[in-house]
Amino acid sequence: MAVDEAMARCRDPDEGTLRIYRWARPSLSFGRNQAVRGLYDPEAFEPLGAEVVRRATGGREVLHDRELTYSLVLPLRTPGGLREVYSLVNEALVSALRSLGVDGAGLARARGRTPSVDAGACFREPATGEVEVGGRKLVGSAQVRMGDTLLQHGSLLLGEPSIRLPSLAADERGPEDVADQEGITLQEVLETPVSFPRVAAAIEAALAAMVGGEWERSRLRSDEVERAGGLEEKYASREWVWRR
Amino acid sequence: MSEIPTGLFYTEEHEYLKSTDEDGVFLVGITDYAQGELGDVVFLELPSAGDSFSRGDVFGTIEAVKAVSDLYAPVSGEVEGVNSALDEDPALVNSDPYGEGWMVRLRITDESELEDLLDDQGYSKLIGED
Repeated sequence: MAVDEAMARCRDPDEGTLRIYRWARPSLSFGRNQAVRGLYDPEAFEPLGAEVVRRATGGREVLHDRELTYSLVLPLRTPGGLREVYSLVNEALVSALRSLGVDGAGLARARGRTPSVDAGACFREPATGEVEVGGRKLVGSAQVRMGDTLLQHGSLLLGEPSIRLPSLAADERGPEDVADQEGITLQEVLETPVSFPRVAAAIEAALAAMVGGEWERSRLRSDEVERAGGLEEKYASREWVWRR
Repeated sequence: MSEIPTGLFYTEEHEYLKSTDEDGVFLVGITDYAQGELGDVVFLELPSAGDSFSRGDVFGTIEAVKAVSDLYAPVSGEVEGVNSALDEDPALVNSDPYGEGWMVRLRITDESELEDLLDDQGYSKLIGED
């Protein structure tokens, strides 16, 4: 999370960055303003070999386990702001999925009501414009605007997670409050496992084509590494992760 | 087309300043264009009365269904009050951004900073609706 924010904070004018990664251990990420105190148990993660973080981006909790995370940093232009990028990214993801053999992916239509920031796990229900298959969410995405920079995070479910969300719930909560992460996985759609590198390559190609311009692969720059180092303390702190 | 009232000051970060009956005191909120870009607002984190900010400081955050945005102080000043109606109904930012959806009442400390802000025509040009 610190690296993603550092990429956004250190963005050069007219440049963007795409980072695609997976997590070393099963990890739950909370949305920036999501209220989770009393819902999840801070002590439940370590015994399961899991970790917990809070994102800079909005939305609700995501279990990162057998999934792919992308973070895309772009200059925000007006016109052509948050909504346009959101919709273009989702269209690009549908095209990436198509190249992997997923024919039934589409964008969720408006459901006529607005889920609150505390309305339960991100994958429980597709928000308008998100990538779904048969009404079940396959990719969840969320954004943060930092001045003239946009950071968009997304998670594509590759396979069934190895841990269950209710096992991380606070003692006082019932199973109805912390349901399993729903949604649909790529493995379920294609009825066969797909390797992370193959999916990553498809997403990289589709997002790069969507953004346009010239792209080059690189490691983090020294200013990004330094900035991430400075941000690590915030993201690792209990004050940030459990702030609401 | 977004609503861009005349007589207000605007920033490139899509906040507005609207004068009040009291000299040097302005209401701060986000523009109609900004609320439309964000979508349905579900959460706001605003400062407390008495907090001071320099121009460009982050004074709060706003979250819609999927997007979070920092809120930037358009000018330097001290917060005299916040709109408590938004605690109950953050969607007022969507339904009435320049009226009931105001966020912060700000006493500005340097009137000259107003000269750097945009008027309705400048803002209209910024968002490509001129």
